[in-house]
Amino acid sequence: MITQATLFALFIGSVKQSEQSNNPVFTESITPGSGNPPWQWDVSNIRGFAGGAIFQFVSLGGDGTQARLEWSAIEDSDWTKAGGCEGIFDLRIFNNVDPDIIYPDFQISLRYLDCAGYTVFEGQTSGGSPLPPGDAGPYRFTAPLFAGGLPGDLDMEFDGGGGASGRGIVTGVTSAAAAWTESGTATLRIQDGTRPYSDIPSVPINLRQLNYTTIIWFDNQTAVDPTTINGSPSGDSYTWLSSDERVVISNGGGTRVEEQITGSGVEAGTDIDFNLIITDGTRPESHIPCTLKARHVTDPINIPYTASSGSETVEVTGDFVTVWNFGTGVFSGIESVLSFNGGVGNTASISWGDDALINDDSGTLTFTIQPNDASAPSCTVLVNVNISVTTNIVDTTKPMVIDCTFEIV
Amino acid sequence: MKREKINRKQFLVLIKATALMMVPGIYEACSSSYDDVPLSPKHDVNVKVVFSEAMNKASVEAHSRLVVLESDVVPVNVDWLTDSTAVLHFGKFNTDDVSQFRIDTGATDLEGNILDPFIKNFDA
Repeated sequence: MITQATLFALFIGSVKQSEQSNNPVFTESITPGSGNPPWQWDVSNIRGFAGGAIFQFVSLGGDGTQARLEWSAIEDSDWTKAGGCEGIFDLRIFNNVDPDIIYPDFQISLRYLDCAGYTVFEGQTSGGSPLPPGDAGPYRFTAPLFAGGLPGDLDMEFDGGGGASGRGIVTGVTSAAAAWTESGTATLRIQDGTRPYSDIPSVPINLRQLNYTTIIWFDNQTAVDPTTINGSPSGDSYTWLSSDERVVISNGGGTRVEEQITGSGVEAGTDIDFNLIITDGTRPESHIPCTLKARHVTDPINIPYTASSGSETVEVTGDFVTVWNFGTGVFSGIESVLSFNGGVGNTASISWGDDALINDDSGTLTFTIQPNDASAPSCTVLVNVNISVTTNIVDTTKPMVIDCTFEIV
Repeated sequence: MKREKINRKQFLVLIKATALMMVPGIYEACSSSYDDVPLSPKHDVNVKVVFSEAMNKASVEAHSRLVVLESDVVPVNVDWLTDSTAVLHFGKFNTDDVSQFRIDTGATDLEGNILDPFIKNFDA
């Protein structure tokens, strides 16, 4: 005979959304005497609840050894009581022939989840708990049933590894069929130790995806394309945080579907593994592993004055293995006629033709750069360009000035 | 003694100028203003250039420039001392205004080979 039960309800803040949909069934191991009437179950002396909670057992028939627990009129303040509500009543099982079976102080624990559902991201490995701050659990969480537009092969894993030591944190979401834009509902099953489980039905679930989990940050960049969530938030907006303070997330306002991610104080060549912590309204956080790769583009680019046409290499420093896509370049503040040779490769170059350079000229070059496999957002980088005089290159195929003097009369 | 004649118009101008000079304020103002603006010392600026090859003279003359106050000045005339040595005369300038001499692309030798573009700063 089990003499304890934990019941769950779903709240958003102080507003109850639903109570668990299943009624726990209890079995009395002692059977009535042969030929005697079936057991009857009687609840009395309910106490420990602030409101007028009512509990009763409904026999499942036969000899009455199985009965279903039902309840009503549990006050919201009892569900959400800080630290949990522990109520008790006395249970008497009888048939007026056999000796009564008495269970004094049958314990009923009330617990609740405080969330509006789950928004889960492809690749997330951790997140927030739907339990209120005062409830450390642990419980065993599973999601045995999905409905609505969610893919049929969806699987949500929770912390505790399927055991009883979890707090409802989603540690993995897998689906081969998902487009990661689907929405639907899940039945959330929670079990407190060996007590009967509780099913919270119709918990909203949204699937989402980030377009990038690798960010390249150039310490001389002026802009970066945003990292984007592929769907609107369920609430007013998403919130974004980084687990590493060196990773900087701009707050673009609005629904914050997209944010620009940069770095601060990170030496070029450094890779930082961090978690993007994204929260959708009042739903638990999603922790998505990401990497910030700090890199540097040659700056300044010094072009020695030479007679011939030539080029200077524009390259990314760091331990990169990426083939870059160098986009269109724009020169500013420089009079010399230069060309930025973008394209795909490990480097790009600046080139010029005969007599295109002006001595002591300088300016800037701005261009976009992105891994060619588009595995990270495109960045806009600004580098300085300086042209300086060096000794003319000796080219025996060309005439040259071998001496020049000013004569002031 | 030969006396020069002056006509009536010249006489009136002379009288007016004399009268104005007798007004102390105007005289001092004119005198002070004149003293504060010294004459700019201008010099003939010539550039002697020695080439490695016998040059196409017209092409050298056409592509030689002196940069004065950020403007390009072309030679007034050129003396060719040899087929590969020229003195280019640019005229009179305040040397503080002269910054650079250069020969742009276009200058060639007798075989049509293009000269390395050449730049020399005046203060170098």
